[in-house]
Amino acid sequence: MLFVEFRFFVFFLVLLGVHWGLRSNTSRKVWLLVCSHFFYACFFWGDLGEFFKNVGAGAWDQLPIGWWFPFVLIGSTCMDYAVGLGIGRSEDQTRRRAWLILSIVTNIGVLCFFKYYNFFVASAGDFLRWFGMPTSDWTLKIFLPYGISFYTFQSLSYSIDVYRRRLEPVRNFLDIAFFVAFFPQLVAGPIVRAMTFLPQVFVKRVWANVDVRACLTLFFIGFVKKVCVSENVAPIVDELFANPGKYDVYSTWIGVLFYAVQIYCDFSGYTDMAIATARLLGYELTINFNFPYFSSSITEFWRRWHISLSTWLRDYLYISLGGNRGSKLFTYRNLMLTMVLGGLWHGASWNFVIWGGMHGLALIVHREYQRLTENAAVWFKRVMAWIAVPLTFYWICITWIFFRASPVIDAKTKEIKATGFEVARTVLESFVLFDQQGKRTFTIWCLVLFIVLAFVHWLCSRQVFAIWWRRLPDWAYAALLGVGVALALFFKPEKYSAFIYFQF
Amino acid sequence: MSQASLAPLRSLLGFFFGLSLCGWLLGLSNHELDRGTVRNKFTHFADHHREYDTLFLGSSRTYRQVIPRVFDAVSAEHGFPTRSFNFGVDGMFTPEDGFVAEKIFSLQPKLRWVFVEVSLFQAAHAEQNAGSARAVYWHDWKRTRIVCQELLSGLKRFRWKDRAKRLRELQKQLGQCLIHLESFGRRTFQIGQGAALWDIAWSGKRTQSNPGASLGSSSDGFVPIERPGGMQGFDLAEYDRQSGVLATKGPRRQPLSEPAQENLEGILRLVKQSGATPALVIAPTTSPITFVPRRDMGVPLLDFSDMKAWPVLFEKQYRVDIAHLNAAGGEIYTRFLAQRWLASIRDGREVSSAAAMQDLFGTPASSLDVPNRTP
Repeated sequence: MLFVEFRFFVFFLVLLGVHWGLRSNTSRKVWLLVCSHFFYACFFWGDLGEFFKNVGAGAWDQLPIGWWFPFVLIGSTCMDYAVGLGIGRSEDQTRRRAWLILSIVTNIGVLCFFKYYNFFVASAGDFLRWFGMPTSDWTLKIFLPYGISFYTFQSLSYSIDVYRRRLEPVRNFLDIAFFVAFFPQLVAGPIVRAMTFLPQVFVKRVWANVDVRACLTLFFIGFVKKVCVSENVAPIVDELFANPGKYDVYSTWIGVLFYAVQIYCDFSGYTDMAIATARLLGYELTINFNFPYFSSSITEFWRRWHISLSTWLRDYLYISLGGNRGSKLFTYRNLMLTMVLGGLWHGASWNFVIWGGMHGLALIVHREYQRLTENAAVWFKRVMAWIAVPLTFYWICITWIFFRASPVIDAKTKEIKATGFEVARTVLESFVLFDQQGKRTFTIWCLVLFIVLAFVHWLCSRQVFAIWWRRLPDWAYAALLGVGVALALFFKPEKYSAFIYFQF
Repeated sequence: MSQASLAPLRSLLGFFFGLSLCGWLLGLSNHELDRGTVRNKFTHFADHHREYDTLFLGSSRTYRQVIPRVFDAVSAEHGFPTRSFNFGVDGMFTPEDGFVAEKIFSLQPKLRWVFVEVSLFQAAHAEQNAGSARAVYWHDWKRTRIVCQELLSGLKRFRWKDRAKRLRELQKQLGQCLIHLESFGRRTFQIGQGAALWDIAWSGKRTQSNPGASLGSSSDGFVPIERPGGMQGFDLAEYDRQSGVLATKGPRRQPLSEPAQENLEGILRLVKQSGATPALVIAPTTSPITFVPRRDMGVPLLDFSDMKAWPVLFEKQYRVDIAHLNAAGGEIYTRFLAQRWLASIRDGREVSSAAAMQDLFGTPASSLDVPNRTP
């Protein structure tokens, strides 16, 4: 069930009505927990009538693949609840560490199995074959449960914060289950920290504190980003990356720039809708994006892009590795390791490792640049300030090429016509070296649209649209929202694709 | 009611006002016909309607087996020259044909004869195509109402002892109604039209690459079904089964539902208002049930569904499947259609079988005597 589907609106209206109709905090949490698990189960159970009919008949082989994934979520929750209590009861540091290690091993182990088993096995096989050694195929048919990368990190943050004594262990299982499974952020973040979310869970939410107008506006903005922008530029991106050698330089640039637009609008659109739905229920989630494409450096980019993940990596990985508390090389090692693992978090593919490594390299270069230009001339700093934003954006687009490039597979024969690397290399040659690959071209309207989107995005970053709609009377705001919805539906494509970050 | 309790109501009304106003303004843009055969034929007819005085309107049972040049040749042979156009479209049933008829007659064509295929609403067909541009474009309120009435008219009286079955039927029919209401919403608010326009803008391609393919080699709207080797497999088995029933019992006649009747009467009204003379056609299919108009509509009904009366139209060599004739069969069918119609308007006679046709026109009733056909 995607946020942009009609059935989600029906589901949410019922959920909202019952939630605010219930009196006690406990009953509300129970209701939201049940709804959250129902929301998650919808991704795997398909037609619910058919599903329960097969369950009733004991026809387990007829059930959809991955039908048991919701129980992985429950299992992970139970394990971290036990770990929290175990750490809380232990004063002995060794025992506390043992509980923590259990949580890390279990959460990371589950994640690694579902996400990385085939990747590591296939990579090891390729490596051995490179040395001429014969190998067998040890890969398994594993399907990745939606959201596993997010909720395992979320659970881990709880265990680690309890271990670090930043948080008291939660005694009530309902609270921890609710924290992990809360549906707005379950499948694609933001990765919520126990320290910021659990205090909200303990306190009964008040309807009077909900800024309904702001929530509706935020949800609408997210909807437009996902449905009207991301979905409509996706075919252009897909066309380029499916036929990388057939398009001219202009079209390659358009395709890459539109991928930057697509991934931002898709992900930030989802986050906006997640935050809005959570706020309508009285809960506050962390902001995940802050106009990242206007960053003047990669360091700044990672403070503005997927903020919940970058801060998680900083607090639980980078600092745990030692952070910048050692030599320069030690710091750079930690940076690179964090970014490479961050890249790997996104997907089990060397493309993502390269993507993460490129960002790690850029962070290192930026640190060195800051160190070397600390006492640079004012004119130099002014010039660099002018070109910093476009230069940073250009580098980000180059890294997106690796992020997006996937193997091109022949639809009829299912053979791989080009590997992800080959696709990335072809696109890079055109994007960076202006190597004219082919003759096909996209129309000038693509450039017009990009300019319009960039301008509107810039206006939003200047808060041009932030205030005036708040001053309208309620009925006028509602009418304006109605107009907006009609326009958004006008630009809605026939079918939606799943959110990009669902695959992570 | 206090101001505080009125505020949410005002907001809700404001929202729907804004939604409706914007949707209506967007809807003022051309409610396009679908981008396939319907639009291709309509565009051609709009450009050339002054050349035609006879029109055939219906589904694939018209599109794929009524040959205008044959019809025109036969009618000219008997002193009634015509110039006809085949506006049959695959899958165009009630009430889509009513919508298309309104579009056609809005052009104010100077037609003399219009042949309308008697059709009914095909729920399964509509469900399969739900959400497509072809399904959405004809869902104005009138057609949506007709469809929903059609779907709900089949509801049987609720009986407690059959409650599970009745509830399942109700759920299914309400679900089907929702599909059509969704199509109505999509059409009214032009949902997705902007995205469709953007698709064309960025790629520079029109979605329909070969408009001429819908019009046929003679640009008269007829395109035969080509199936080398004739009926096979499931089609053959189904044909054998149904024709076996037809041969022994003949078709069971059932009146159209009230909504389908309303749709048909609407089309006939348009035809008559334009000054043309309508005729109704029931194509030769092996369906054991033949749907006929509920009441006498005062127009000739050219019914070819009786296998005993029109045996040649049911011979395997002339059929593609249970519902369609091949090109050779279409030629015979069109000849019969023209002659039957001529008998009706020229002599006021109702020719109800191939044998009677042979007596009147000398046209062979069996396949053994079929004259040379134009390849």
